[in-house]
Order: sequence, then C-alpha cells, then structure tokens
Amino acid sequence: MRSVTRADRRRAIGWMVLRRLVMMVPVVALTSVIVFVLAAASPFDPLAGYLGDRYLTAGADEQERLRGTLGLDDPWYAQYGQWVTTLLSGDLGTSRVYGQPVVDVLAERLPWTVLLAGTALALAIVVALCLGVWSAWRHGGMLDRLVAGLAHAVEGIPPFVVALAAIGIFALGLSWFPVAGLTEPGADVTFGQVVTHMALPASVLACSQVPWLLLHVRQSMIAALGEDYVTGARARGLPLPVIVLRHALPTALLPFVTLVGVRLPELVTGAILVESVFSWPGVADAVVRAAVEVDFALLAALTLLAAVAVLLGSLLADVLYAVLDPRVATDG
Amino acid sequence: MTAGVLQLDNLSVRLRLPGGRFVSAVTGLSCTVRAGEVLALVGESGCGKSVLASTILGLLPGNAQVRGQVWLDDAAARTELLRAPEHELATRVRGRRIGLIPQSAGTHLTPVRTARSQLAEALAHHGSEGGGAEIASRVDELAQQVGLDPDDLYGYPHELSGGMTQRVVTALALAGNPLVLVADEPTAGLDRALVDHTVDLFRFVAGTGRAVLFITHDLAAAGRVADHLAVMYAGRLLELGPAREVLADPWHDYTRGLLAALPSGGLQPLPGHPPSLTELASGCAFHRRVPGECSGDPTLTWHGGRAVACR
Ligand SMILES: Nc1ncnc2c1ncn2[C@@H]1O[C@H](COP(=O)(O)OP(=O)(O)O)[C@@H](O)[C@H]1O
Ligand SMILES: [Mg+2]
Repeated sequence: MRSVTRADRRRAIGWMVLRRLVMMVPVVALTSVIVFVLAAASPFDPLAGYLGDRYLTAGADEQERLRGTLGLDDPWYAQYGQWVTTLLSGDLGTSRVYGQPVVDVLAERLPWTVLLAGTALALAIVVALCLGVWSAWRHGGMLDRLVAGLAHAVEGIPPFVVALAAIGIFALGLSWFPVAGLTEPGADVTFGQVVTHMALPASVLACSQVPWLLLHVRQSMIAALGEDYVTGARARGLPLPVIVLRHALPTALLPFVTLVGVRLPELVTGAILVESVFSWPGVADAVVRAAVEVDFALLAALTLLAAVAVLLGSLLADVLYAVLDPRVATDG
Repeated sequence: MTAGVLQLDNLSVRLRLPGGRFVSAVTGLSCTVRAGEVLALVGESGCGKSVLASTILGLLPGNAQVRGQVWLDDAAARTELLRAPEHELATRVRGRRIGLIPQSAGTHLTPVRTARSQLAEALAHHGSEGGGAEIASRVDELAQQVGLDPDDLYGYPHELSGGMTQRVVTALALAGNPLVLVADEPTAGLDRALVDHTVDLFRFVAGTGRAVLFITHDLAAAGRVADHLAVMYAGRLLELGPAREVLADPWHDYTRGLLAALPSGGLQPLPGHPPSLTELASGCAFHRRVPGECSGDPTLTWHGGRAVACR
C-alpha cells in the first residue's frame, strides 16, 4: 500500500515539472517582448553599431537605404514578429556585432561560462556547507564567531574589489596564477592550462557567493540542532556524526536548496563581472557588446538564455525540495 | 526486594530565566526505580516531570543547574549520571542503558526520513548483528512488539497518526534494549485501547527484568500498571509507596484530590491552579492552594514502606 503512495508522489512531482515547464512559455515570451520594447526605446542608434566608423562618413541616403533593408525603421512589434518567425524555424538570427550566427557565438562562449559558473557554484556550496555545519555545531565558540564575522565582512566587499585584490596578490604579487585569459597566449587549450587559468576567477566568484550561503547554512543548522528530533536522536545514543549528518542536516538543507535556486540570477551577474575582469572567453563580452551596440538578435538570445536558466534553476530547486521533503505539496 | 537500578537522591533542578530569575522545576526529590518494576510518577502538568526525565538522560538545556545525585546501577557499571562526562552519556548511557520515550512523540522524529529508516538506524547502532536483512526482520519484530503493522513503518512521520507515532517512539526507545526505560507521557492523546496496550507493554518490559519510570498525569493508567506510585506536586514528591496501597488508601490530600478528580472518584476537580514554579516560596505549595492539615514541611517522611509529606 505504501509503495503505491510513493509511486503517486513520483507521478505528482512529474506533473509538477510538466506544469512548471508549460508555465515557462508565457514568461519567456513576455521577457522577449520586453527586450524588443526596451531595445526600440534605446537611445543608441543600431545603425551606428552596424556601420562602426563608417556611420559618420555614410551619407543620409545610404543610411536610409540600410535602415530599410535591415528593417530598423519597422515598429518593434514588426521586428519582433520577424524574429519569432525565424526563431520558430530554429534560427536565432545573425549577430551584427560578431558578424556570425548567434548560435555560433553562443556555442563558442557558453560552455566556458557554464564551466566557470558551475565550478564556482560547486566550490561555494562545498565550502559553505562544511564551514556552515561545523560553525553551527560549535555555535558560540571562538571559531564560530570568527567564521561568522569573516563571512559578514567578505559579504560587504564588492566582488570586483575581491577580484582585483586576488589578481594583485595571487597573480601579480605571488605569481601563483596567470592574470587573465583561458590559456597562455598561443598555447593549446589543454586541461592543465584551463585549470590554472580558471583557479583565480572561479575562486573569486565562489568567494562572492560563499558568505551568504554559509551564513544561511549556519543559521538553519543552528535552528535544526535545537529541534526536538535532534534531542530525540541524542536520547537514542546515536553517534555525533549520525546526529548531525542524518538528522539535523537533511532538514537544515531544505531552505538552502531553495535559496541556491533563488539566488541564481546573482550568480549569473557575478559571473559576467568576473569574466570581464579576467578576460574569460565566456558570454560576458557578448552581453556587454550586444547591449551597448543594440544587437537585437544577440541581445534577445542572451536575455532568453538568462531567463530560461533562472527559471530552470528555480524549477530544479523546487523539484529537489519536493524529492527531499516528503511533506511538501506538489500542487502549487 | 531487588536492588534499585535508578536511584534519585535529593535531586534539585533549577532553570535560569532571562533576567536572572529561576524556575524550581525539581526540589529535593528522592526515589528509586527497581529492576522488574514500574514506578509511575504522577502529577499535574507543569510540575516538573519532563525536566526530571531530561535530567536523568543528561539532556537538560544550558540554563539548568542541578544538585543531588542520580545513580544508575546495573550489570554494566555503577554510574553517577549528573557528574558523568557528556561523552560517556552519549556513547554508553543514552539509548543503551537508559531509553527515553520523549513527550510529544511527533516532533521527536526526523520529518524527512521514514519511521523504518530511523528504527533500522537505531538498531544498527545498538549492536544488532548482521546485515540489512537481519536488521529489517528485527525492525518488524520490534514493530509488532509495540503493536505496529510493520508496513506502517514505511510512512514518513507526518503520514502517521498520533498513536502510530507514539508507538514508533516507544520502539525506538526499546531498540538498544536498555535496562531502564523512562517514558514521558507515553499515553497522552491515545484512545483507551492504545493506552491499555502501551501500559501492558510496560508490564511486559518490566517482566523481562527491566526498570520502567512511567511519567504520566493519567492516574488511571498509572494505577493499571504501576508497582510503585510517586505523586509529584510543584517539583516535590508528596507521596510515595506501593501503588495498590496508595490508591486504596491515599495519605496525602493531593493524592486524594487527584483520585477524586477521576471518573471513578466522582469527577470532582481540584480547586485552584498549580502554582508557578518561578520564585516558588518555601514550605508546602499544595496546602497554600488547598487549605488542610499540614506540618508545613513538604519533605517525605517514611512510615513503613510508604512515605508522605506534610506530616
Ligand atoms: N528550558 C526551560 N527553561 C525554563 N523553564 C523551563 C524549561 N523547560 C521547562 N521549564 C519550566 O519548568 C517547569 C516544569 O516543566 P515540565 O517538566 O515540562 O512539566 P511537566 O512535564 O510536569 O508538565 C514549568 O514551569 C516549565 O515552564
Ligand atoms: Mg511534561
């Protein structure tokens, strides 16, 4: 009888995923509309981006003609309609800035961003979990206060200061790590090259995420350690690691899962900043150029990508929550 | 008479409140729980019963101050629990020599794990031999012993009824096969049939040579199973003796009042309310609530096999 209810729950979670995926469609559509409206209202002349230096030398006639062929004078909804039509045929369009199909721009850069952000997030989670749990266990002690104080302090430092300080100390001062880029100039993209070049940006990005993660883990762990069920586990004479890892942590982790999902946009913006500072060949450069030069196709693709990533992140967090906590309802 | 397994000697527990005031939850309490016997500790809610249970297991909160002695004396060792280091309590006493059935069972189970996984875990850590299959069959055995359908154990705590949860917690307390079982209000919220089942289980546990401290405010349930009865009021014992004798011929006004409040006694409630244990004045708290003949000294005096206060 119980196994039936377990299967029911799995099915309910499946339906929840499906429902949420369907709900993503209007959100993503609305986001893309907003991109086009905002881009139309932008004070930048897209033609300036398109023509570059020739913008000033090209005559008014030539500019008019170009506007016509590029469809730049069409109202935003006409441009949007055009874009959706090509999108539905599987084409993200061509980036004017890079003179390349948008798909190629993304294919070239996205993997590096995912690698950097993923490594940083994993690093941040591991560090925050270990320090947070340990600090909560020693709540009120010297080391707990040190860790908490340090976390509060680092949380207050802007990430670019951390980045510059890291470069100053570890790259320029100690020469432990290279300053920027993906590899040495001209070197092949090897595993070793990438790891040594990623160490600093990934650490800086992780560093900007660790404080708030850690403080939250610590807080929910302190709360969990005061719960009756932890007292219950102690009363049974279970070993300390079992009490902490199998009774306190599983419940303390639940809000943490949601939190990581919710703060995903911050990770994305943090990644863009760190990429710029370290000249990491990810999407950051594309984001900046597409925004400044009003590259419709690229801008729209990047915005949608960010929206989808954030929505998927929060969906993943909710699914994980429902899987981890049998009390959570799946119909919300 | 068999030797005492759990012996409380002039035990006092104060809990410090913010602002420097104290709750005198237990005051000068002495009693003995013997192997093969059930000692029922009865008293209205708020009189310090749960604090007493936490004291015995060394699970008091950080604001507690304890005086007196608690001796645990079994085949394993003779230990004074109040001075035993936390490490010894954690690795050798709790769950192994003393099992606790905590009050409000529902909140004492970890919500994200099934009852079965928590029971199997307790068994595995208390030296049940063999692998998964053997432990699984021990789990089923224990479930049946406390009156649970083994299939119910696949549920998460929130899926279990109050009665099931209570029995899961009872099974958990028995997993380490402790010589002393401290049960804090294990029948609260159960219907009559389940109360009877639980109480009979304690009889059975005591019958296997173990000592049971049965804490309850249900005098009827206590009367059904207890060998000895201890009556507690405002942190002190007011009467102590063989259950049959105390129930048939209560010596203290408070015991008489509790019996009168039962359906069999005519459902006459005690007048007034239990006192607050904060800044408790010395002297007899009960006779300040209900006037009566009182020497003014609420310490127990022994008369044969029975003890009573206020004489
Ligand atoms: N952690 C605590 N801090 C302060 N006072 C407490 C604490 N726990 C219990 N008390 C107080 O101790 C007294 C006895 O409580 P308790 O032992 O739970 O009563 P009972 O179990 O008999 O109903 C009550 O007045 C209660 O408010
Ligand atoms: Mg209580």
